[in-house]
Amino acid sequence: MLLTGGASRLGSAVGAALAAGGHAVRGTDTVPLTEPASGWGEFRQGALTDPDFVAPLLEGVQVIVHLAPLALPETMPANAPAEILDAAARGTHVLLTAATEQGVRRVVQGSTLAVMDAYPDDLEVDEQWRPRPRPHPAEMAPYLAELTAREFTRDVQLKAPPSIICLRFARLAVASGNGGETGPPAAPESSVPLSDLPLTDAVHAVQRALDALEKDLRQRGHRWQVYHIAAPAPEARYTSALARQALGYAAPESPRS
Amino acid sequence: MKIVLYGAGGPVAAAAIAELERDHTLRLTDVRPPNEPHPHQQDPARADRWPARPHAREHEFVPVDVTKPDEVLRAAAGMDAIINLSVVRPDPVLSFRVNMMGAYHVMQAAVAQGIKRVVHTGPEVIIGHYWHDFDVTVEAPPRPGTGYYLLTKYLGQEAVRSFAETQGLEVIALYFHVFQPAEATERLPGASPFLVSWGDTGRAFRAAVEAPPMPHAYEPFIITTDLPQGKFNAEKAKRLLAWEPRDIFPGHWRRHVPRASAEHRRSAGGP
Repeated sequence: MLLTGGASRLGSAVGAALAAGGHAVRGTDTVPLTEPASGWGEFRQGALTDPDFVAPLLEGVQVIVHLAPLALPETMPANAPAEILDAAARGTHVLLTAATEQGVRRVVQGSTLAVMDAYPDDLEVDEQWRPRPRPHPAEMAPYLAELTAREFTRDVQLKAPPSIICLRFARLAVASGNGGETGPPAAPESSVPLSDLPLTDAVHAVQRALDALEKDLRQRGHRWQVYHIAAPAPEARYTSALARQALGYAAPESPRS
Repeated sequence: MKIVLYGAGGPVAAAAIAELERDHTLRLTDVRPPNEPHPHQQDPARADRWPARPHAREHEFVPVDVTKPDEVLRAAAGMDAIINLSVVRPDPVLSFRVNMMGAYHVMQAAVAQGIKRVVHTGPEVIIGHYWHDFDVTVEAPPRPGTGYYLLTKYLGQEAVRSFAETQGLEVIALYFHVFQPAEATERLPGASPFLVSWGDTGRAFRAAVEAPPMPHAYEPFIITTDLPQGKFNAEKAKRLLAWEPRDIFPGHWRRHVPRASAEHRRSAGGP
């Protein structure tokens, strides 16, 4: 498996979980790991916008977990927001172009539920609503990467388009304890705000999406699927109902404040 | 009105300038200096089809690379409206940086300089996938595919839409496909059922700049002449921009029917 955004907090946790599950994981990111990857196969630092870096990354790869669009806004300079958009959208294009050329047809891509935050709070927003991202790169970069990836799943010019499951995550809780964390000191799990998604739940969602792709590589129907991975609290802004139904997403309830 | 044009060195800009320079103060910007002709102007076959400027006069020129936000911002200072015509087509890097990043920088400049009216431009992104469809409106979901040009212009459009919807801007987006001189007596290579003359192109820019507020913050329009195929139409531009195509290329879509043939059909009960 290739894991982009591998040095991010979510990327590190996903990499560790996949490696623990017996997968050979090749991680990559524009920034180095903050601590040695726990049980990973390898990690390569570089930019996905560089085709010469990306092509060898994909050698032997069967599945991609593409979390870079979420990670880039956290690591690139905030005073050049359009550069972040370029890295996310063009990097996704370079990655998926190389992937289709090399026959990689299964992709899980990370995005953010913040693209829906512009809707009034009292609306039941689900996957059928049009995203309304604000220009901030934390929303716009994952959104433009979504649009780029979606075209790869349905471009009639491509001989073997990939199947992509896009997971829009709620804001990740700071508390974790999983590897690679660079944020504020970890708080106990019991203090995770109700509006946040525990890191373990996000990792579980990626695993369920990978399982779904492995069982059902689409020969027909939509190759682009979107699922919301929301905070588990009943009062949370969004719902994971579709992910539970279609992916078997069943993150354990976390103790909450 | 004081209007800044980004990407002012291309043929579409020439059509816009030809129409706007009669009544508006223009600031032209481009990455290419004005003493360096556009590649089309250096090709004799294409130079003949370059838009004419019957009322040509000198305008302020500011060199701007739209991938550099500071240059874009400075060029917008003191302006009342923006027209963004910047574009790069098949380049795997510059297409993203000009068509998407550049559009983002232009909208950043509009917000920073307090300019509400922005005229954005782009190619149709509703042709390829809808090739076998008819009555395709500008509201049809874009299907740009994975090619650099259409995809990056589409991503730029989405960035522009985001600014428009969240920052209180008025964006009129004009979508084009094929341009042709009005006086062309026959279809030129590449002519399609999404076709407009240079003169009508320029008048579309005037209509967009001078239009009243639109129903939506980001309002896209198909700019095509009236053509008989039933694929695309400019009904929305007529209704909201009061723009009417004057050049309809009447000879392009009719074949010569010999008189005897027509009489034979009539005698056989045909129309």
